[in-house]
Amino acid sequence: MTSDFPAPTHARNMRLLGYSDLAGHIDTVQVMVQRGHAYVGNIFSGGFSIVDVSDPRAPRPVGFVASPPNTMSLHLQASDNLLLVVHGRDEFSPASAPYDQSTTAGRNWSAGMAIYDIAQPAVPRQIGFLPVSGIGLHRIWYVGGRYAYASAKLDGFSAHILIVVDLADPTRPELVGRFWLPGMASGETPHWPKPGGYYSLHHPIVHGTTAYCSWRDGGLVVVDVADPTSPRLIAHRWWAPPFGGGTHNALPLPDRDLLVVLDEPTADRQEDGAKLIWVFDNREPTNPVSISSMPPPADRDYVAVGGRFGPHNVHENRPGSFVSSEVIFATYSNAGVRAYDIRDPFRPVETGALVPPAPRRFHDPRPNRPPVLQSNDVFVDRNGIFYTTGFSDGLFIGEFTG
Amino acid sequence: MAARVIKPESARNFEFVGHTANGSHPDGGQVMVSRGFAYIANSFTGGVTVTDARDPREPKPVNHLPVHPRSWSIHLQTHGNLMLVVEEFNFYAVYVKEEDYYGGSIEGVSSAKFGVRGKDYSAGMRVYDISDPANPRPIGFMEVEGLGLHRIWWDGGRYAYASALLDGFSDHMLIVIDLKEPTKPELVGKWWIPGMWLAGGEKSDWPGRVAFHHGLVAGDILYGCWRDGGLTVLNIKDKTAPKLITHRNWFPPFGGGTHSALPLPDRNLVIVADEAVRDIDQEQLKYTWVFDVREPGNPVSISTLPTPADQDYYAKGGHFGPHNLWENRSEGFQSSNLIFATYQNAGLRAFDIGNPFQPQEVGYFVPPPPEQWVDHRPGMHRVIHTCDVYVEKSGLMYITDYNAGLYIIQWKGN
Repeated sequence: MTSDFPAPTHARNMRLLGYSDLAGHIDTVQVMVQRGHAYVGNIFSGGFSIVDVSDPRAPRPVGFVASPPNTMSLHLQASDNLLLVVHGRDEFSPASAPYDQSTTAGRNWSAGMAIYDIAQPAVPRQIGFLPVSGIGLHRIWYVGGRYAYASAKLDGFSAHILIVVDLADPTRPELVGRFWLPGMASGETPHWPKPGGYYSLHHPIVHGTTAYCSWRDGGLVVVDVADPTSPRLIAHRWWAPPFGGGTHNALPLPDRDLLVVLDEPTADRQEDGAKLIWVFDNREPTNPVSISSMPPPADRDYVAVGGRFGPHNVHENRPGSFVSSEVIFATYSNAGVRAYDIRDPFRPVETGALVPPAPRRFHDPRPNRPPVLQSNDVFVDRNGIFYTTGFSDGLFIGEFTG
Repeated sequence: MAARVIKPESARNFEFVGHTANGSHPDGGQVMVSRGFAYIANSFTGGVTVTDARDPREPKPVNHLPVHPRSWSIHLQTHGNLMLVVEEFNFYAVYVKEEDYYGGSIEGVSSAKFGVRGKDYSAGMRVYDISDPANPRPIGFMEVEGLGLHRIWWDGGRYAYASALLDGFSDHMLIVIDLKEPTKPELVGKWWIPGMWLAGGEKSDWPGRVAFHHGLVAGDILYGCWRDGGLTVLNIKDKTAPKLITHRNWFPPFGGGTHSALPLPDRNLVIVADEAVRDIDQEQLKYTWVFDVREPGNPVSISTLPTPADQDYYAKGGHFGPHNLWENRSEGFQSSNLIFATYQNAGLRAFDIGNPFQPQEVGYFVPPPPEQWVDHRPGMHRVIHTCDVYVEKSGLMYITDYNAGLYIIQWKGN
């Protein structure tokens, strides 16, 4: 039974429609819906899931595609007939060999990007693979066209960098461009402002010829990718310290010259500082200016709830999905899904909230995780139906009524 | 005779107390209050007006300190028994349009262009003894080799920090003044943004007007505002050699005019006001910013004070936007939660920044239209232009206007 779940912990201008446990693969991260099917990256299960969501009140799991051993496929991108899936070392599998940059011997995971044909939505057929060195890919941006953009941890670099992948022939993808911050390549000396910080590309979002890169503790990095073989820095802003870092999404709203930039918590109970979803003025591409932030959930004391409390993802306005430069959907870890009205970008207001119930079953192999809701991703379709995931939270489907 | 009661155009959490047109000097720039006397810099009529406000319901002008007829004294500072007053060539005598004055650097000027310094205009800082509050007595003068000083920050102590236009520079820079001997103030330190020293061969191609307006000090740090040049954070531990910690500028995309930076050291915040320098139909809306300065080398803008919206101030015309902040002077009201700011055609505004990410407006006082007009610049909109504010510990405050005299009002909020 798919709709047998308790009422949400909190709801305002949003309601739950359906739920799926994905046939047990409740460890869900990125979600993408296309042609009535949700493609869901799993973080602990070693693969990705497909759920038929043509009836949002009765979602049906229809497939699970396992990754090679010790390989994580937590992020994916669906566009038309193509599905791109990351392959990276599964850091949670005890069987994964340790990563040693100095030797490729003994590596027992797959590193790269798998390409599937999804002309038959429920039956992905792998047609290509881009192998890379190192740990592999973390997350991709692909909305059709010739190029995909991703974060990849390659040998020779201290952490994930930007790569550009040419998909002119999707059966033979080619890595054509790379970009990193000075200090990340071996032999370079970094000058990071935060001792012990994590300077690593989470992922880019590309609009036109500009890649808006969220660089975790390195903040926002704006890169010109007009020449995909030699990306070039346009602007770099970092606000950690004083803020806690963890920059995770940078979403351009081109019709309003704004950016929505989200910082992810990487510790429980705000021990790494209160993370925020920022609004930047982007009228001058070389000088993005932070102007405001979304008000954090205040309907209860979420720090006391335990686990992560803070932003995790924003809905990224993919073509064909819900596209808005005035209403922003975001996940907030133990505070569920939030909607914000940013018509006045200097004073965003929360206009909707849905906090799904805490998981009944707990699927998180990490030690000492509190059994609370930890919402990860949200995808909103053009009808305002949203799909949201979490570390042990399966797939909740809801509706924005605000 | 009962004191005249003036009804504001609109008000919230403020009450009218008193008003004076200050005789023939209704034009007010910066205002300081000491022992019940208000010292008001006159922007257009020149000099400084002394107003006895010991009965705040019936303030009366009692004295006027003249300045050279071709200079102005638009800013002043008081503390204890001393008052410091700027003297500078009156730029409005030559730049009659706002665009001429605010649009670009005042370069190509040397003091010689306007005559002989000390004879045809005066340029420097005058020190007054105000131990007899109604009768300030000049006791010292520091002349500078240039056109003069624009504004000073001095809240007691040995050093004052000012903006000065010195010969050889494209526009105003920071100078540090030693007041160890107040009768003989001495210029001991200078700092400018590299590119400003034209006589030294420096060059720049900045848009707009990069000129030091003034800076406030917290500990060893001076937060300085540079109009279209943004905000500098300077280490001033060594008064003779200020050092740049960092520089932020949000013009463009924003409209420039960075004017006042108020540090709130107990909260690691700095409030930064961008001045509206043209009519609102001639420039983009300006904002007052809240910066997080927990990391001195990385100030981060986190929010802005809400723009007044109780009436349509665009339709009202003239300047609509920030001008001055109440600067938490030690002899007056001090708060790191309540910000009092002048907003030109929108009067005086009060903001609560208890949550610095979502500042709230908590009060306003918008005086009625001015009864007289002394601003001689052509084409100015005949509306109020609330300019500066001094707040006493009791919440009694004094607000000036380019034309509308001195209002005394009482804060009634929490």
